[in-house]
Amino acid sequence: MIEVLELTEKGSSGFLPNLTKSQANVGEVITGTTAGTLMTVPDELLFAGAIHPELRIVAAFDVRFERVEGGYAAVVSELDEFGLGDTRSDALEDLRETLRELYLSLERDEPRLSGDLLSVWARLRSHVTRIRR
Amino acid sequence: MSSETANIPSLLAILLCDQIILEQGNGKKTLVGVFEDLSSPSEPLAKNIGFFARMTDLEGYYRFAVKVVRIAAEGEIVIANGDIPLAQPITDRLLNVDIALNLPPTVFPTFGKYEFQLFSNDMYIGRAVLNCRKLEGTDQ
Repeated sequence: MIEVLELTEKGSSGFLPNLTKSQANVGEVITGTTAGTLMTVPDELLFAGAIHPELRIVAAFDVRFERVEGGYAAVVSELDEFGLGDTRSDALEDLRETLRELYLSLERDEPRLSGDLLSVWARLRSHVTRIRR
Repeated sequence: MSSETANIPSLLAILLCDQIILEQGNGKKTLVGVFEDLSSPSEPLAKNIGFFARMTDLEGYYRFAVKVVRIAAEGEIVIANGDIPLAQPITDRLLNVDIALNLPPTVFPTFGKYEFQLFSNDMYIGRAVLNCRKLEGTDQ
């Protein structure tokens, strides 16, 4: 089954449905501003992006963005983990790598984990599962 | 199964292009002019963009959303967004599901980095990056 979906004018904002074809060409100067209201990005995000080809996200991570010196931190309080970057996007990408490394290292060292790390490992596995090895 | 209990999709691909052509009858899709950079002598930039995403591992009801976000150190701004609810539930997790959108013209206010972020039931599942650059050799 393949779904082809349409973005309706009713369900969208910021796009310009009435822009003429010539105006839409890249390189031409458009007078005026972007249609719709510009919105700030929320400080919280449910992250369910892929972290590794062999791992699957089964429950989203609650991510909170915080301003830190020199940029942003993307924080997963539940695991006490974070990613850092100049922008929120970079911080989220860093967090993605952090979560991947955390999963792979805890999986590798599972027989030797202390009680605290076993707790982290259990919480992490409630979000991530291995789909193949 | 409600949207709250629906499976989180596995994103297989997410691409931006000039246009998506849908072949009537067999449903084949042609992505014309896949790109990740836009060049223009001046800002703002405006362009019709085709947005394509392929997912699998879906089961249940889904409401997708695309947000176009300007990425900048001083703060990120959503410059455009759209919701795409699926009327019918998806029952076979092995199927591939495509989102193929010929978006209305999108205006990018300044040069810089933008992301087309895809959300499934309010969960971020992936992005396509677009770099808007000043066209070399022009001085406007």
